[in-house]
Amino acid sequence: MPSTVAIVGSGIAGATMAHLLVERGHHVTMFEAGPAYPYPHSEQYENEILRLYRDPAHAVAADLRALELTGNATWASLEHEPIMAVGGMATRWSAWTPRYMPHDFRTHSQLGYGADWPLHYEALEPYYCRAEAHLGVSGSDDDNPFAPPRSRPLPLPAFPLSYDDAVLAERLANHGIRIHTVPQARTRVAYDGRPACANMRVCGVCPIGARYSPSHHLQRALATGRLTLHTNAAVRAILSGRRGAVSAVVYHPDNQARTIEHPADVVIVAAGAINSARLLLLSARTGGEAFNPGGHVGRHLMFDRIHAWFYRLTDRALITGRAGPRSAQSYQFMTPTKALGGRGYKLDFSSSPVPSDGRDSLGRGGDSRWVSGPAPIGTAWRDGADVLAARAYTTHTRVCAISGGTVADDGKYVALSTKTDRFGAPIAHVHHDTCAFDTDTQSHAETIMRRLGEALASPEMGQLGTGTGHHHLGTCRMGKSAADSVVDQFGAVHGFSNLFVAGASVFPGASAVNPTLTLVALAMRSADVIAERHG
Amino acid sequence: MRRRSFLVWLGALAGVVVGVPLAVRSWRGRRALPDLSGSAPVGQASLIATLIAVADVVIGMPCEQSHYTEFFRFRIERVRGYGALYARLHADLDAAARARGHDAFASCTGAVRTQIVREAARMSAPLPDARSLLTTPLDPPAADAAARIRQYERFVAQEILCLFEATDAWVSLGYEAWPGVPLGADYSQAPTARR
Repeated sequence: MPSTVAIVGSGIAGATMAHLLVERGHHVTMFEAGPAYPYPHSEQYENEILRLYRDPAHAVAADLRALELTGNATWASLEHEPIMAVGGMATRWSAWTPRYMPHDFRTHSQLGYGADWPLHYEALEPYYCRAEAHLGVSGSDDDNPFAPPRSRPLPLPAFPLSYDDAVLAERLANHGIRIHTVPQARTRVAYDGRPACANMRVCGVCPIGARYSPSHHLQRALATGRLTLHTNAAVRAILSGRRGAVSAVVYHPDNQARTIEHPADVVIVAAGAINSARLLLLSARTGGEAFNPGGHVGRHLMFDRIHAWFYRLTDRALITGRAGPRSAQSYQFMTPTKALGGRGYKLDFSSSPVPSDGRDSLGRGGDSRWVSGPAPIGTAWRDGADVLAARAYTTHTRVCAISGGTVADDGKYVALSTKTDRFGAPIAHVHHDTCAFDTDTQSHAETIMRRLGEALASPEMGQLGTGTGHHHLGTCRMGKSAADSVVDQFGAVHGFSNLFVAGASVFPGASAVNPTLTLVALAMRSADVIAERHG
Repeated sequence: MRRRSFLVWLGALAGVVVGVPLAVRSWRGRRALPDLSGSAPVGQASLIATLIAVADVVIGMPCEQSHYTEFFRFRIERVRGYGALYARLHADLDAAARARGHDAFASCTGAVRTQIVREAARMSAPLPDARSLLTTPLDPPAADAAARIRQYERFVAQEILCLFEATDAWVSLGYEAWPGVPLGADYSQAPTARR
């Protein structure tokens, strides 16, 4: 008889697993701490783009998202990066879906840094194919000789390079640098009930569902009648049952003080790297150290470190922002070399004029509404001419971001704070210091970016800033045993037969590559194992 | 019309028109506009006509109006406090127009509106630069002219310019349309005709 499954968190990992498990007859109950979030996201688009209005009904209460932030490399925006609403962070994302490289799974043994994963690229490759089909990824490796191996072509044709990309590609090719199309969960043609992309260029709140949102599959799962979704339902703890098993989750219905114990045969924690760690740590306070195998929960926190640069071209007009938020990339530097510190780097060419959370050397701020919705008004315009003068640079400026991955370090962790939420439960304490690896990576990245500027003959260039890309990883890392990790290669918490963690929190390392496709592939693999073991 | 002029002009208006005491508080820190109690006391069509006229002055260049109309209508109907705020601005502007022999601000020609503003500007003492206004918290609640000006500046003028930035500005810069207008998947491969 199919088991009952409780999933904490309705983001892309939880939604993927819910969809797969209800398809196989399981009854799934999902707990989302935040509110419902309409899908397709046309209402959000109209509010945020045309009305400069963010509906408070779509946001979780401040005390339930609060974090204590310390360290030399935390950002105030971290508190707002987890989208605590139905669908989670992938309701509002750029939808880039590249694969990790084979060496990303073997950084310790092959490259001498970080931690090896307990599985190889080859083990995940079939799941990469399934994940690409699940998300409806458009793309092709035909123009990317550096791409990792694949057994199946991508399910949808690629979005070609834009006109602006072609201008850049020509100049970079003359200096031996190649740029390629981008695999992305945006529909080049109609797919799986989603319309073809209409090139509205507001992918962050795609009004038509062309850009993938977890709500697409959540709605299908709900339609089966085997998924129950509780919104505004913060989970307080997981309860132990018989030896080596969990029995239930405890949650606050409607985020009120009273609690309800919800029994389940299987519990999946998929609440993002910060809140998944917090929940296990909260559970350990009442349920014992079994919920914190080897004391590893919360340790090994990683934030992707993405360095954005701008390049100004004075001899050629570019009209950026014409083809969605991203349109080109380069794997040219993905193969680790000694000259670049033995790690790989990925270049992302944004078609937004400025990154969502950056500022250039002249203090010209990023326009975040295309990804993050309207922010409080922080610029005092004088009149329309003032606006045009401030934004005129967009017709000659291109932004490129570079990332080289990162590693876990003792100065990066999630713990429980002494501060509490409305229920008296400690909030998450996030501490993040830049480590030597990060500094070294940034230095090598700068070398590459200056080379890029020379190739583009850019008379003005500079670094805009460093962001996480909203990629939080590693707090419940996978490994071989409790001696080095929290979960095994299938996401099962060491010592438990029916407690799983899903999402980027299980990553042992952070690549230069965007993590979402990999976390979806891992979630699908975990769902297979749960169905097999608990079917 | 420069931003400073608009502020000065609004300052002059606020100084000559008796208004309802305001419950003003900081807009920074993501707090919403305070509840000013009650809906707009004037007809919505008249109110929006005035706001469109204000947008015309604030932006200072021709723009397509329908999305501004929708923007104002949404705020009046859905966002607490805006109906009353807009109504007060409407009353202030009409009073200034009547003082100059016209029926209402919205029915004045563009030239007359500009003339009203220029005359008002000459009557008024200088005000701080708009940027410093926007970094100054508005608490505690105040009913004086400066508080009203700051509120108009933040919740009317700057929002109009932000909407302009999100829409018409893109077209003025050479883009075929602003983000949100579907252009078709193949659009991005060709150089734009406006380039």
